[in-house]
Amino acid sequence: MISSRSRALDCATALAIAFAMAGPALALEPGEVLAGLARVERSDATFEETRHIAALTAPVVRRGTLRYVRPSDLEMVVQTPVPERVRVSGTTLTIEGRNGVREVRLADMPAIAGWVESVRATLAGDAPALGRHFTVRASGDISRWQLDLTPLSAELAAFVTRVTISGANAQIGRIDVIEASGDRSEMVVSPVRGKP
Amino acid sequence: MTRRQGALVALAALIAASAWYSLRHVTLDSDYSAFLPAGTSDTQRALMRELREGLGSRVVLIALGGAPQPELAQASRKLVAALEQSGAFRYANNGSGNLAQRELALIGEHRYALSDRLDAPDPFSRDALRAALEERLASLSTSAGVLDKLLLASDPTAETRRVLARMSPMRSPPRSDGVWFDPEGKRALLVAQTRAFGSDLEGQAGAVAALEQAFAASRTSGAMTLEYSSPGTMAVRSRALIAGDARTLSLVSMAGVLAILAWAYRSPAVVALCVLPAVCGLLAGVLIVDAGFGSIHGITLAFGATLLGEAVDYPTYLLTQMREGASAHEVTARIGRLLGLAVLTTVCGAFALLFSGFPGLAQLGAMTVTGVLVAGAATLWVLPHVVPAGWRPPPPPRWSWLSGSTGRSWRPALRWGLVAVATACVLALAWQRPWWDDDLASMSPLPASAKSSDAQLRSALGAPDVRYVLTVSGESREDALRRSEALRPVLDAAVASRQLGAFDLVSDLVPSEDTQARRRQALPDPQRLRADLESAAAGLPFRPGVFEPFVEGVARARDVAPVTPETFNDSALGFKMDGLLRQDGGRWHVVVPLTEVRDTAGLVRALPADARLIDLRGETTAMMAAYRERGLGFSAIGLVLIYAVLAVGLRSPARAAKVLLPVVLAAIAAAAILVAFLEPLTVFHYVALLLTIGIGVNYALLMASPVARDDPAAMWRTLAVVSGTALVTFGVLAFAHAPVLHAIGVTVTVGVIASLVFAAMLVRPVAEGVA
Repeated sequence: MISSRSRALDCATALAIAFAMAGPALALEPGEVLAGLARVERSDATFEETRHIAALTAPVVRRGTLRYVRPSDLEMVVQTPVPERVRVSGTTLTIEGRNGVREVRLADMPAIAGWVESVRATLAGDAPALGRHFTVRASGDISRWQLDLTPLSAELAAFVTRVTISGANAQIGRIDVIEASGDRSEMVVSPVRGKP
Repeated sequence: MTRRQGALVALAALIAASAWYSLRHVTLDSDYSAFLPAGTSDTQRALMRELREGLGSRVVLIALGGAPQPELAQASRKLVAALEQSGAFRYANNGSGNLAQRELALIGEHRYALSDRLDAPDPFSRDALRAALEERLASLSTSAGVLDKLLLASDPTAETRRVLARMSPMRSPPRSDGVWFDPEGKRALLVAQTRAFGSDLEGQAGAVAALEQAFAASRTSGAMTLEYSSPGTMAVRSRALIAGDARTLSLVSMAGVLAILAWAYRSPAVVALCVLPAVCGLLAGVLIVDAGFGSIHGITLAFGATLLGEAVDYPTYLLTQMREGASAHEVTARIGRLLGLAVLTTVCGAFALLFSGFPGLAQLGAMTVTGVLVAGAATLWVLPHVVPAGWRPPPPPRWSWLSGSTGRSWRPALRWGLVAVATACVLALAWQRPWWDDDLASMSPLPASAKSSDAQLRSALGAPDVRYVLTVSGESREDALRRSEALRPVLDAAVASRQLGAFDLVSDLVPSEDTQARRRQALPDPQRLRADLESAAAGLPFRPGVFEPFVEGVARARDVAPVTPETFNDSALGFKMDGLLRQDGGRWHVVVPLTEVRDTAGLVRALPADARLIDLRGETTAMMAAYRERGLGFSAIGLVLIYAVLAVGLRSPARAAKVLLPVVLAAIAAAAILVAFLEPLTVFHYVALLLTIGIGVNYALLMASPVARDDPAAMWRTLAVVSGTALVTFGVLAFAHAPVLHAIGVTVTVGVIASLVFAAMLVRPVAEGVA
């Protein structure tokens, strides 16, 4: 009883939204996608990133785990081929790799900051933070959405041409980056369930 | 025309002529550095020149405040553009990063001339290339590889990064909205370098004006504030302060002196007569200083007004002693010896000024000697001819509290007062107040707030004062650079053994031509490099031909023009270069700033013989102490001279000692009072102490003279006038911003009071014993 009533309510809400939009096919607003993501407190995932680099005859494939903890902690642990741990916390970026630990202030490197923010602000559902670095367009529907991020600043555009993030509901599934150099990378993100 | 009228006309004509000449031809100088020490050794001289004219003197630290961050960031960007456009600045940086790109490009372009990998045998062997390529491949698999990728094709051996890693990182403030902010995020920070040298005050004043104008054009709100600081702009501010002082203080002390004279003589004509010799002295002083030094400093001129207060005393000796029935000539004959002694002792008092080693103080000395001699001569030989016949001063006031010649009633009170002051001094000194102030900063006329704001901006911008530098010098630039290169292994070892934190070697950025030629020769020819590269890349997933830009870059580097300091002009590196490599006195000097020096002794032992470690703070302190000792030495000589003059003039060494002793005691007491209650002593106080003795001895002479016995009331009046004018003029001087004037003013004021007290207690009229 209860569940069917709530489903009916959901339908009503969806209808109401559809009427309110009363519009053309591109009905999805970035805000809707981000609002869903903003409710996630913490997420754990594995990733597989394929980098297509013009200088190389074969792509570089990296595998590891991603963890996001609200509001501003993002950690990426690369297991292969070169182990590495990249942490973003607040305004600092720490890279622990084969050459020891390096810490940089994001504010000192606007290009890197934009890049980091494309992922972190999306995970945080933080529309203003995302809007500082990119123009954001949404497409698809909430169960299969796509956000297209185009850099706002010339500094960032010198590195990244476009970042495309796609997912379903409150879950990111894939991040595609097209670099200014023409190189590109795809990162497929799979959620890990049942973690404490 | 009577003889008197003739003399007056001649004198007036002479004064008018010299005044006209002074106004037309004397050059006024306002550079405060004349009152800064020039240094007693080569190192110190170089150091002081560096402070005045060096790189640092051109760097202006700027802060914008009073608005929200985004507005400040916007204004900061506009200000950089406006400053670079103004023409007064060579360079402006707010951390927004465009500059870093310019510098990176320059280092990238010259990477093969700069990289020490080229010093190793066969730097681009097949094995070396293989190792480099494997390293690049691994790096492409890391998160930071994105950045590495940019240089992959042209610089696979990562020479650019290697060169950058050897340079000590420039610490920079945190950024917000893309520009530098202070740690609190309240003020946007900028650095700019003026085109004008720090010693070029006109140029610096122009830069200050351009900065104010650029700020007016860049501010986004009325509430936005601008702060700036640099040695050059501080010098401009000092100049304004001193100019203001010169006007105000001269006017106030002249008004004071005239008031005292008017009280004593109640006759405008006589007051004018009194001022006459002093004006002659002042004009003569100006002309002599201008002739001797090429110009006269504003401070010297301001001091001249004080001197006027001293020179009006001489007519006073004459005029206050005028009696019914005695002509001016008779009075002159009676007091001529006293007057002559007063003049000569004051001249000796200026001795330490003349030889202190500060060009500015020497000017004050020359001014004093000339002014006093001319005023004295005018009083002795001109004044008697122009005093109206039969004139006599109004009767002296009967000061009952002085009660006659011996003044028994007040002496005990004076003694108790003295005991109290002495006790207070001993107590205050026992609290370990420092006696000397050897801080160079105390010589600056700017208020403490300006100095602390400078220090604060400096630390916010990560430009702390370097305490230790290493220097090597050579016959030529090449020689100096070669010596600098030789320091590399020594300093690397010192860093490894933790004697030292970091260092900055100019030869890393501009290697000697020798080294650059060797590195060029170590570059392989394109055919060989291409072949080795191909075999090194075998089995690695690099696309064939991808490193062609590298091969071309190496080929280009084989016959590119060598790197010179000029290569880095108009970049932050050029700006750094100016400070680290300089030509001075026909030799080239390399300056190596050191940070976190932990073991100076160990470092000195490890250094080659041609390198010198300089402790900047220690060196300036030693310099100030040296000036102090020199001041003390010349003061001692001056004191001996004063004694000799007295011994000859009084025809009795014993009487000379009796006159001098209370004044010397007074000078010691004045020094103790200054240290205990006012301020520690600098060289300026020292030379002023001798001046105090030269002036104070006049009071003792007067009290010891027959006049004191014959007409005590007249003597006290004379004393009141001469000490009153001295107290007014030197007291006013104590309020000057320029430390030199302030120190002289405060020392002489305290010294004059002490001299009066000691002389009144210890000196009896000469005839006492005879009677």
